[in-house]
Amino acid sequence: MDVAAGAGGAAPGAEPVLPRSPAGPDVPLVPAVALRGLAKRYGEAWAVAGVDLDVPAGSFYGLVGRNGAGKTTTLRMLCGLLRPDAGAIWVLGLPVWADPAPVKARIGVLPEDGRLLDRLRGRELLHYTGVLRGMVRPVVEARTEELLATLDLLDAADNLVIDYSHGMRKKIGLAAALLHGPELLVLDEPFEAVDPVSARTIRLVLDRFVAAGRTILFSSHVMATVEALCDRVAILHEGRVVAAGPLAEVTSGRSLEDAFVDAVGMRHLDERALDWLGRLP
Amino acid sequence: MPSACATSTSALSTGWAACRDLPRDRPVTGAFVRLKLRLLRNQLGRGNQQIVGLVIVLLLVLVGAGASALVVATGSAPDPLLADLLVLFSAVLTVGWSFVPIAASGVDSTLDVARLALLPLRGRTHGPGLAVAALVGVGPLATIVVQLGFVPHGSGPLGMVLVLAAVAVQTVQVALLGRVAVSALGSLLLRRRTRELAFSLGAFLTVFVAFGLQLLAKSAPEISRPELARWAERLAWNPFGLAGRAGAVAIERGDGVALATAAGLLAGALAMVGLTARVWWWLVERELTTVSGAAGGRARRRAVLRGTRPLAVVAARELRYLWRHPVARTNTLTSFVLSGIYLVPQWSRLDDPAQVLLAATLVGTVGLSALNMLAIDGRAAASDVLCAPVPTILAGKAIARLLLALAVVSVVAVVIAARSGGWWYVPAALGIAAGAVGPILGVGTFASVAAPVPVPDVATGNPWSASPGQGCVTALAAFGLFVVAGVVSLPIAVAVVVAQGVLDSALALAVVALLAPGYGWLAWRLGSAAARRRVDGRIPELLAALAPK
Repeated sequence: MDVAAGAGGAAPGAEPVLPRSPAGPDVPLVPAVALRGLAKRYGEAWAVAGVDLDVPAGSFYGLVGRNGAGKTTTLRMLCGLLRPDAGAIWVLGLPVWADPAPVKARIGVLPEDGRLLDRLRGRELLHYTGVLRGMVRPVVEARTEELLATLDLLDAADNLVIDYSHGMRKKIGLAAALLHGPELLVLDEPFEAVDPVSARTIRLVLDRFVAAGRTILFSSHVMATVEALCDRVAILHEGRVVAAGPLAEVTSGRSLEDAFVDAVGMRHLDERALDWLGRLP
Repeated sequence: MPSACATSTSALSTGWAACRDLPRDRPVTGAFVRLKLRLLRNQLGRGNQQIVGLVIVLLLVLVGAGASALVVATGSAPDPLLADLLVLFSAVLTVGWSFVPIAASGVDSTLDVARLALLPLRGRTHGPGLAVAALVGVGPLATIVVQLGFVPHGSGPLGMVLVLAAVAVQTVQVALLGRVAVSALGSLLLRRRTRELAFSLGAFLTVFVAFGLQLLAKSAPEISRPELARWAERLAWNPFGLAGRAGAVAIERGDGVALATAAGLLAGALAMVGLTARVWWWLVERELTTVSGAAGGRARRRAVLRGTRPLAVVAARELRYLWRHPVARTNTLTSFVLSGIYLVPQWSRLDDPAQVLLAATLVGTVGLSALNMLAIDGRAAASDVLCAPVPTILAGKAIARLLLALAVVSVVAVVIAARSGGWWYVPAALGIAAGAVGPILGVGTFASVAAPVPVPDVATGNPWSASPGQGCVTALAAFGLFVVAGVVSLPIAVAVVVAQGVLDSALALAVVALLAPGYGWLAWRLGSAAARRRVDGRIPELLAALAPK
């Protein structure tokens, strides 16, 4: 398997050499993320109950599931933010839990409940994020300005992050995740509360990211977004993968929403339920 | 079905073999220091109140510390006394730095490692930076300044150097100890129930410590020199105060043996610093990979408190909230603890049955929360005002506090009656309390809409945290309002003194106990009417004040 022979350990600030398949898109790549028997329990409840999943390098991979299906827990474990109770995780060929630091150095993460240093201004947040990642200052400054401009945050760059709207926090979080030029981007609900114009900009940025051979793994509740962006998808239900693969394979001619509902099941609404809503007072 | 995970685990590693050339770690200590300074500066930029707060803190802490250091440095106290003081001070620093950072966790961004979890943190490159950042701030600076007063007392130039080194090592040691305390409790404090329980218990501890400090301050002038030496001897075992002991030895004697002993103790202190740093980083790594156990949860208990009328619903809900919300619960528990503390010193003097009436004065502690009734969960106030008129909400909240006040007074009155036999005075105390709480609730109702103060979201995990940088403005306003409430309550107090102290008439006391609730009701209604006028047409401003951006 020489497809990843060119994969390079990118020094911060330098352009990483990314894995490509010389034989064309149909040749399977070494997974950028590989999960084997991954499990996590909170008290008596299994949030993730044995997940096996490969995310091919260079793919735009969507992770969908109902509330509480285990998406966020899975993403946190593969980012080195939450210790699993069982199973193994490889990210970019590195076993995450042997040493999470080198994995964190190579990935960008936008967590759903991202706690930022919100007493910093937007520009300062990016500056310190880059410097603490060991990036050289001129590179940090250049990328900061570029990211702020691209994500339409220049006007708010000198405001404290705590004063940002929810959507702006998502955007500054995404900028922080992109700053060091990660090889893998892990995004948890990146479009939540983001206005349509900004959402389109983010889509363009992400498309460009994947076109460069990098990988995105993202979770969302919005099926239309996943369908529009992703080339592969996995459906999580009750802590397990119930369907995964190329989008066309998983949907089999249906919409992703239909495929999703078929996979996880849906409780039908009683005809008489909420009938009081139909009566005027 | 799950997709085929065809790649073998060996291929997973070899396929990305080149990735093992890890980027070289850069030291980022300076960046952490700049980050901390920037956060402090940004905090000040939020408004004049923050600057006022900083000036007050600077005056109280830094000037106080500098003055203390100057007194120690220029004083002519005998060396053995100074040596003992340094050992004792090291113990105080050990205890103080172990607890204060826990109380401040969630308030100071750089101390919250969870906010840095996405970074590839490594002990070697980031550990020193985080530790040094912990030394940036008014508190750490004051710690250093106070200790510097001991330096001129070192025996000879070498002794002074050793004391200076001891001060530096001691400061780093206690700062690391503070980090250990925060990180050790970090994962626990992330769990809501544990966090709330810990903070509620912490409220007890805080009150007891404050009480203990008062006793100490009272008895400190009476401590004799040999007693001080005995305390220093007892606390010399403190492994985190080894540097202090080294400094003490270098102050006490200047011979070669003493200086060698001091140097040896300093080496031991450095070893303790290394050990503490190792334990701390282990805890940081654990903290970075733990999250709140949000899933699960206990079965719902049947709701005991119910109501159908809006006023009853708000009151019932408020009583639940006073127990369930960490900040409110901390306040409630503190009021109970204050009741206990109030009783302890009085115990030997509670033979007079009329002392039962003293229980009525406890309404003041319960009424404190009435001054800012809308602030807990201030962001939810918007949905609240959509459901019920603000005056109704305020009235319901006031009723909840009245019930709580009467519960506390009842318990304390019964305890005193059991001791003194003054059972007749229990209903009288309750009547007087019901009257005395009225002015507090009236003033509180008005203050809650006229001068609402936002309470931070409990997401910080710290019920002690005020909105950052309000300085003493809030406390002074609360004090002023409390004084007003006290003045309005004065007629009841005067009536009780006349009936019991001057006339010594049971009938007069009964009349006062019967009339007091009416007076209290009147005071509350007046406050409510003023609040109603104040809030009329100003709900958006009220909501903005309760949940500022």
